[in-house]
Amino acid sequence: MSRWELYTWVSIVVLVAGSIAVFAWFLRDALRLYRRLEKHPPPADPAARSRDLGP
Amino acid sequence: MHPLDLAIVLAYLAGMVVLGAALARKIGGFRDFFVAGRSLTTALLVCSLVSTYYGLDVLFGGSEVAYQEGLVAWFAYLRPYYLVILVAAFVVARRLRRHDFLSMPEVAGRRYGTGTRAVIAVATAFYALPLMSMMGIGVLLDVALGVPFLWGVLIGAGVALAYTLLGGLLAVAFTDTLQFVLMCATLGLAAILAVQGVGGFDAMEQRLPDTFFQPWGTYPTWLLLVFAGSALSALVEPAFYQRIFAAVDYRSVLIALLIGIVLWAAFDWVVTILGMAARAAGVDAEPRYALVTLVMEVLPVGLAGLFVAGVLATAMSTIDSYLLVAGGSLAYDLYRPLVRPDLPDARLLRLTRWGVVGSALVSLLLALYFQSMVTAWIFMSTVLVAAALVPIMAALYGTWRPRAAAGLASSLAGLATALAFFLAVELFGGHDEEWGVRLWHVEFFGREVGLWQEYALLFALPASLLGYAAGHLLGRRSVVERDAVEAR
Repeated sequence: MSRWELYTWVSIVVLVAGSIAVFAWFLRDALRLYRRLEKHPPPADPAARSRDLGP
Repeated sequence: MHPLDLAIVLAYLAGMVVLGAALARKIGGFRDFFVAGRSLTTALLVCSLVSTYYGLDVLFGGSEVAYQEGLVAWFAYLRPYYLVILVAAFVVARRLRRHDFLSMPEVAGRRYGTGTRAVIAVATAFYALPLMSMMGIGVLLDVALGVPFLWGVLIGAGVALAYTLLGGLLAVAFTDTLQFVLMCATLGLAAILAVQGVGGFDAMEQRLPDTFFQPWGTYPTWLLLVFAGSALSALVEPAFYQRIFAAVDYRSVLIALLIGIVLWAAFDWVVTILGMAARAAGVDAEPRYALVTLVMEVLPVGLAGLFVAGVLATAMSTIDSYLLVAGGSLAYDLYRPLVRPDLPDARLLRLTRWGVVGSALVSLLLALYFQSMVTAWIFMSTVLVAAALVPIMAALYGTWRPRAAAGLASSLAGLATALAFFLAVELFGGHDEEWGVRLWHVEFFGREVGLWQEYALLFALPASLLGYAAGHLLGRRSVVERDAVEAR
């Protein structure tokens, strides 16, 4: 097996396994994030939003 | 295409719009729309950064170079980005998180004033036009489904536009996660089947020229320098900046970028190998179409549909993010500071949405003009780097007092030089059959030199530096500096 072939197999494993692992991590975060957004909805008052704009 | 594959593609497209609509009610103002209320966690950032920054320009552009030249695509065209992103992760992101910025042009605006902010906003909006991903969708749907190019572009871009307008960065980030896993997993599976379909790695080595396995290939040294130089765009990459500002904290950004570099390197390598496999298989197509043509030939029913959805995901994750950046640059960094600094938030939000729509239309027109993905990518990177790199880096790290003229002269000099160079090669150069690009042959100290359109950065960056130095030496003190002195 040449080193290029080895790199290819390693890349495929990183790509497939890595993306699935990060996605699973995201699912855990998403639930927490969604709950936080439900608890703290964005302000309805446009003036308050303007003050929040920063510089 | 088999009906099952078609159903998978349609389900994917519908799912994206539904997700965007579900998140639309979370948008309360511009900050929610543009930086997701600074709520992005590490995992969301990894998915969003990887899928956004890697569009079809990389998938088709990288495989285009690999199909023509081999491994040089990864070593010279793609690898320099990892080094620059590493610098961005450890140095630039840390500095940016110290301030309450929402966009990259705002960084320049705080240091040099409205003029520089406006010039960089224009360059950012231009760079962010996702024309290559739009071109890619047109090509993909044409090759895979037989949909005419223009209709393919309209369908793909239309769906991305819909959920971006509805849910802003939060919808973009959430859809990015699905797109991320789809694009990575399907590309990995496609690579296994494609390499086996060609007869394995040994068969590829036998069928391809030796130069395909040389890391530096046969490209001219100057062009390799330009490829490396275009990676500097990662230091002033507006989608990076947007995600840095949207993250919950700096630690999340750092970890996300480090994981991202590993995934990007793997993604690039697989794209490169697929481009080479297409050449070894004797795929008779335009270089930029070679990867898709090969993969569609080797994948079975079901997986082919997943792959098309994966490639669509690659394109749409880029289109949505960059349309958002372009719309935000026009409304928040151009219109608001120049025309109406007291613009209410609700109108700013509406204007940003219109900016997103306008950017989509301009991208569509440009997608029909450019022929080569690599040329288009280098041109847009050059415009951004030429206008923004020097003033932004000086704004972040300069210990001297800022002068408004320095930022403005630097941006304008870089931008004007880049555009003038491209125009000159377009007007005075000709099409080169060997490399398939525009070349302008000029006499230089008795020697004939071939200037590629891609060399613009080699002239624009020094021009930007000179402009900065001249503006700093000759310009008056900036508003920021006068305020600081008066405060003392």
